[in-house]
Amino acid sequence: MSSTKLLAVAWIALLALTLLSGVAGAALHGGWLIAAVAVLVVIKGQAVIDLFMDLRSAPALLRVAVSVWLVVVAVTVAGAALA
Amino acid sequence: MTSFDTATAEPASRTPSEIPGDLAMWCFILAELTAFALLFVSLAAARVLHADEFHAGAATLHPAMGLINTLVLLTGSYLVAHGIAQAKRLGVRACNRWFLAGAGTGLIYIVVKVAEYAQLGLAGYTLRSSTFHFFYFFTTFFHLMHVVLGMVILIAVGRRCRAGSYAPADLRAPESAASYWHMVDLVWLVLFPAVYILR
Repeated sequence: MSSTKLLAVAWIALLALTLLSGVAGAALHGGWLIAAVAVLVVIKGQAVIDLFMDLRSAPALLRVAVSVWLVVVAVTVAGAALA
Repeated sequence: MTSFDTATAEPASRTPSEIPGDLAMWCFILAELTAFALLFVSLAAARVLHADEFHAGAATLHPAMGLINTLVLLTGSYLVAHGIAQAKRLGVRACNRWFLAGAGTGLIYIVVKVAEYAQLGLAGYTLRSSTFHFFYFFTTFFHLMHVVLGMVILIAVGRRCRAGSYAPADLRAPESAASYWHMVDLVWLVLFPAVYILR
């Protein structure tokens, strides 16, 4: 798949996942909502990191640093909502 | 600097060990991410300590507006990433209009956000209304300022690309601008559920 097609597919998938998180926010409650939203945030964020920021081919340290940031803040926010 | 000619441009690409853009920009981006991480930790601590205020406060927001802004920023990120892909194929001049389109989505984001602030203001909500509203206004306005800065960077770099200020295959400046814009998008992907969805 060409890079432009891959970007277009990623964009459509990200829009779909965002709409899904909106639906989840209205349909789910409590722990299920928090877990679903946290997973969606990490998936979407990693797609932005790998495909839009193009850190797939960057030095591993940079990609890991940004990915760890994403997981830490997502887990922190979700953990506080669960508490 | 000579003007750019697509017919003679060499395809631009990075080796696997290179970062997209300048190292200085990535130091700035990592510093920004650290600042936002501290804000998210503060937000999480406040949520634990004032759970009732957060529950009641989140109910005063309109998740649809946050959802629209998420779709808008993701579209902006796509347009900018597409601009970089085009620049790799055709040279840096090709990214200008995509960067302008990306900055345009930033303008839509600002209009929606200002409308939301106005709506909340007319309903009597301010920074002092509750702990939730303090964090809502503070974090979203802090993020809004980054959207504005991202737009300025995209427009400035896009204009320089069009003017032929960079060598056709030199993608460091446009990749730096794009990376900053994607960072703004990445932060919003966490901020949106943190204030609008998780109640």
